[in-house]
Amino acid sequence: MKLSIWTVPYRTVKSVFSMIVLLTFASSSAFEGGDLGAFLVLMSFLGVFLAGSALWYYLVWKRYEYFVEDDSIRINQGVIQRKEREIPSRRIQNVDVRKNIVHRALGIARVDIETAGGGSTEASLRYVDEDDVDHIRKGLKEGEKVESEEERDYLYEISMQELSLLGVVSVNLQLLLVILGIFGTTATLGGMAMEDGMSAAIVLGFVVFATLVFAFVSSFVSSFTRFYGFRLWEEDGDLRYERGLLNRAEGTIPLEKVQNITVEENVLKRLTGYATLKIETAGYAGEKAIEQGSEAAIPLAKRSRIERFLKDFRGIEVPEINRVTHTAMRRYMGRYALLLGTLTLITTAAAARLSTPVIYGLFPLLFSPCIMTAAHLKWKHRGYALSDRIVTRNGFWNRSTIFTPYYRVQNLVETQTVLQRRWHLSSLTVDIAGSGMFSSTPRAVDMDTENLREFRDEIYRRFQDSL
Amino acid sequence: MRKPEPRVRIFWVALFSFIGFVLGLPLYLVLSDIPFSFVIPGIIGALMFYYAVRRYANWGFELRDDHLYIEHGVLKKVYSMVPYVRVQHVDTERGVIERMLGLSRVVVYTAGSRGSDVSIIALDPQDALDIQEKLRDLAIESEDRDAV
Repeated sequence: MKLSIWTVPYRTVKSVFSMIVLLTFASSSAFEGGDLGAFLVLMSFLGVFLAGSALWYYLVWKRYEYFVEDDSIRINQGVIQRKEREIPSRRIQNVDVRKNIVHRALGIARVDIETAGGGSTEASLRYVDEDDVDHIRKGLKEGEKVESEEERDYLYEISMQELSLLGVVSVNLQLLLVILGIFGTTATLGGMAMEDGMSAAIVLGFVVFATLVFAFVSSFVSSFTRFYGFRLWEEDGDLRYERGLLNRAEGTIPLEKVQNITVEENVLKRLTGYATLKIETAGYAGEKAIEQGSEAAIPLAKRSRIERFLKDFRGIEVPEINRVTHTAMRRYMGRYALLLGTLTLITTAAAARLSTPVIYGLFPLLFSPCIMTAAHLKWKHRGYALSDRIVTRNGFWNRSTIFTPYYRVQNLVETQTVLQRRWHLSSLTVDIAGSGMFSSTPRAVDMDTENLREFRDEIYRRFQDSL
Repeated sequence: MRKPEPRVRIFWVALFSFIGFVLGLPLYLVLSDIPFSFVIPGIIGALMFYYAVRRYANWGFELRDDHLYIEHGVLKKVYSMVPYVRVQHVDTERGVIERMLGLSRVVVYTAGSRGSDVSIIALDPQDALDIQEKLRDLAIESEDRDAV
């Protein structure tokens, strides 16, 4: 089978896009300057570039063939260097289909196939005709049964309320606070140095307000368009989803390849009683992983609904989470005290430079009481448990509770820094197959060393039993 | 607990002390007007000496019943358990320095994303080959799982 012929114009334009912009800009200024010669040179340069690209992508298209066979896909490609690849369906972790607005207009789509080995998407078909997508999907399935859209029993469809709320609660509060903190600090120091403190305060207020508005609006718009029409359903042993207002995306999560299931609740979500559910497989999610919610099975729903889903769908009961030892809090208090101290040093030095009374440079110390609260919160939202899964929980700003099946365990690594040793603490990393940087690794952090070793040994025992 | 070859101790001590001393020199130059600052390279050298000694002392590994156990580290101690069923393949490697010292290392690969930590360093080459073979024998692939 061949890729869509639209691939040629699309890829040509896409690759020379930046070149076009640059040259058009340069040539228009040459044109205005009356330098016709330069303009013609630039235009012809652009023309050559376009023609060359078009020719190249035509050749790429001509020499690209894929065959969907009995439980495998074969791809023969390459203009100068031929590459023949075969991927058995058995090895496929994810099949993702992506269409941006232009793709939709042209009736094409990008199909990404991921396996567990390697750090990049195994095969990326750019770009197939829409109608061929189903054919590829069916061919790669090991089963026979295919449901039509009407027959589907949706496990989850995002409601307008959830979609709107998603935009609001997805704001990265931590980042926002850091940015505001920086503004505040510089403004405070600057305002003290300046004569007109009043107008400085007004400007600061405006900047803060503008930042907040920008943050929320952009988060809202991005979440809304990304998750518009999100639907989740099960088809022949896979979890499938589709979403998107402008850019459409369809994904497959083969249930037997599921590694971790994560319940994510950032501060705002916790306040409103909502959460996000993410399901990870061992495939590398590539550039998609950086997009928000790339593996989101349920982008936003009430916590109770997600817990019910976990129970009904995967038989996971959320157990009582054990807290780590109180001693860990001392470690955090020390850490935050150090941070605050360093910050105070910087502000004091800056104040001295700006020849304001040094006493003003000590203002970060006003936040000292926060140290205890921060340490407590960090400790409070950390925990572990063992039920039919390994359960680990970390994070205050964005709390992740990760459920790991025992049989997915690869390595068990205990680490202990010099300072941890002082408090008789250690951390455990439950290493599983996954995309490393992008997937969350289950970790039990700052447990009492004895408890941690018992915990680890018990995990190991259950792991052996599960084999 | 098995240890790496003892002679690597000498190498580490020499290497780290030297690095420490060298790093201490610029610091000494910068702070040269402080009295007794000439001891700075010495102090840093001594610290690095201690680091190298502890590094060897903390290195250990065991081929246990159903998993490989490795511990190492000075500032951050790491204790790894690698079940044999999870071992994908095992390499022996010899870098330039290792060849000069007549040493080798064993690298154990699993599907774990953070499993890059799993190597046994500074082994006698024949030991390395023996361990590699033993690990290969012990690594069982389960039939219906894909070891992932």
